[in-house]
Amino acid sequence: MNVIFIVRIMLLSVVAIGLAGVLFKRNLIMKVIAMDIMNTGVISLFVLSAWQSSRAPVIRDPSSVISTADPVPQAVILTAIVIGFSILSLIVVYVMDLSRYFHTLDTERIQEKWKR
Amino acid sequence: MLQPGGMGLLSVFLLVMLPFLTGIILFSRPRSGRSVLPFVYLSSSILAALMLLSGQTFSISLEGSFGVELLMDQVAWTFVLMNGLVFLGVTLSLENDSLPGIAFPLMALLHGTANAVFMSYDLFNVFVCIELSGILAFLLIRLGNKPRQVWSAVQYLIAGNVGMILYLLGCLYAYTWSGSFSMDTLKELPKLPVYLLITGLSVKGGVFLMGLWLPEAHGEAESAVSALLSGVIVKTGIAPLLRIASLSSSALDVVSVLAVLTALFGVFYAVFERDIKKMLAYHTISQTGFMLALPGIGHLYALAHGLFKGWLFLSAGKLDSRDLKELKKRGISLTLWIPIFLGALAISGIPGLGGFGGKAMIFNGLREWQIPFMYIAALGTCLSFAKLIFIPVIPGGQLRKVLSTHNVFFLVSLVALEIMTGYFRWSSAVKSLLLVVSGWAVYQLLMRGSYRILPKWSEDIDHIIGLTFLTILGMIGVFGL
Repeated sequence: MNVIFIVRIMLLSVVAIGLAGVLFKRNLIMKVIAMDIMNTGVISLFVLSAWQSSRAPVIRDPSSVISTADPVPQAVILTAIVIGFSILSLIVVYVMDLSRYFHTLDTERIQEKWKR
Repeated sequence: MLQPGGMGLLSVFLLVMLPFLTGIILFSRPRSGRSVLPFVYLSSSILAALMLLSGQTFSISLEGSFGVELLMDQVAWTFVLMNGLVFLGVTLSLENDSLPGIAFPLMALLHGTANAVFMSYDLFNVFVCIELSGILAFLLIRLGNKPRQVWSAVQYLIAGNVGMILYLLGCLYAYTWSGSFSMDTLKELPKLPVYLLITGLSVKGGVFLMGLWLPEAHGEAESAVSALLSGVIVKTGIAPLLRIASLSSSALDVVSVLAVLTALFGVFYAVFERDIKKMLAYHTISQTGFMLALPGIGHLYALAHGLFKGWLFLSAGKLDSRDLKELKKRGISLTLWIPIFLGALAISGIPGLGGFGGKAMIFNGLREWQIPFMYIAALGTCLSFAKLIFIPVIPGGQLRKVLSTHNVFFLVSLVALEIMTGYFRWSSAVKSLLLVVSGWAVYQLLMRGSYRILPKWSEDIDHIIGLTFLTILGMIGVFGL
């Protein structure tokens, strides 16, 4: 049982909580926020995975440091953060639009409009 | 003569950078897209066709170690060719004001993004490009600005994004396992990350229960957009899935089961559907099942599917009603019926119309247990398209109208595809004709005008995500960890 293991379990449960939120919240805004929580969980897992890597560090004198971070997941996850942010903002704009049309944010009530 | 690396870079420029540049410039004068964009699409289709015919394969890594790996092999070129042809056909079909001007720059960007997905050999790059294509497709779905379109676009984006978060989790696992994002690592990857990757791509690709956002989104969007979505954007999920399935044996098992379930499930809903565009959308789901059933050949059928499904959506958009019962009462004019008839024959697998070669090769390579199910799905396809074929036709009208640019274009490219595939066996031809005839016979005997309203609860956004999650658990349960 080391720290990394505990943190990883906690982050995975953040992802699970986000998923549960997307599944069970009926309010669209809450759904979108839950989706962001899920995204944040995965991003943090990436950051965590960089910390525990045991590959050769990108520094001149390896003997002077105790632990290093793997730069690749961190560099890569920046892109994912930007994508997550842009999708989030796009959805929020259109959720605003939807609330103007339907005067509700309840997904079930919106869906009922087309039930045959 | 260019070096292989040079040629690879040149194709990246032509296939990805050129559409992006054109798209960005077009934002200032969107309307001119109608005359400029066909040349962009034409150049990428010509390049892909040349490379396919000469059988060239490039593999390049952009900027050193940990760089983005691209692989341009037969599979990638086939998908790129499909992308170019479908976009070209759709643009040719557009009249002056059938879409708002903003559609053109979005289409150019989407074209480049889809090309980038088809060429990448890098798990993370696939993620980035698919997310970008999701955003662009979202903006295209809501182009008509109707409330229902906005709602289905939001649903699409939420479902797709949750799927891609799962995919990202799979990427992370793959990276920590092997220290690289290259798809080569898939060969020895444990099963759990493979399941996550498959699930994420399945949501985008409209596979089985994960793709149930598709009928709503493709049914509600403008017809030209539906043609692009069903023709190309669904394949941005399918192409990486085919790659994964051909690299990893554990993925192959999962995908071959998913394929059969998808084909049956999609066709079952399509047979009873009354709304013509939704029916076509359900067929997109079921046809992805055919593509995935045999990952080595699937790309050829994907090319044919892109063409005839795009054509069918465009022709269906010209009808004045979407309700099949209503259409049956009123009848449709001959000029509108002919393209629908030809498209329906192509999707049913009649020899000579593009759909035959790919389908026959798939049927000849199937696993033993898959065969009966896929025949049922093929029969269901013929049965369901009989609904369109047997709509009463009002004769007359100017037959010249049938020869509009896009009709000729789609017909010629489907026939050319059949010739290029060059696969013909009498046994397969007889089998597919028998399937079509028996499908029509079943329709005439049993189905005439009976439409059942099937429960659609599984298409609610909560249920799509819940079912996605349950499918992962199902994969773990059936195939083990």
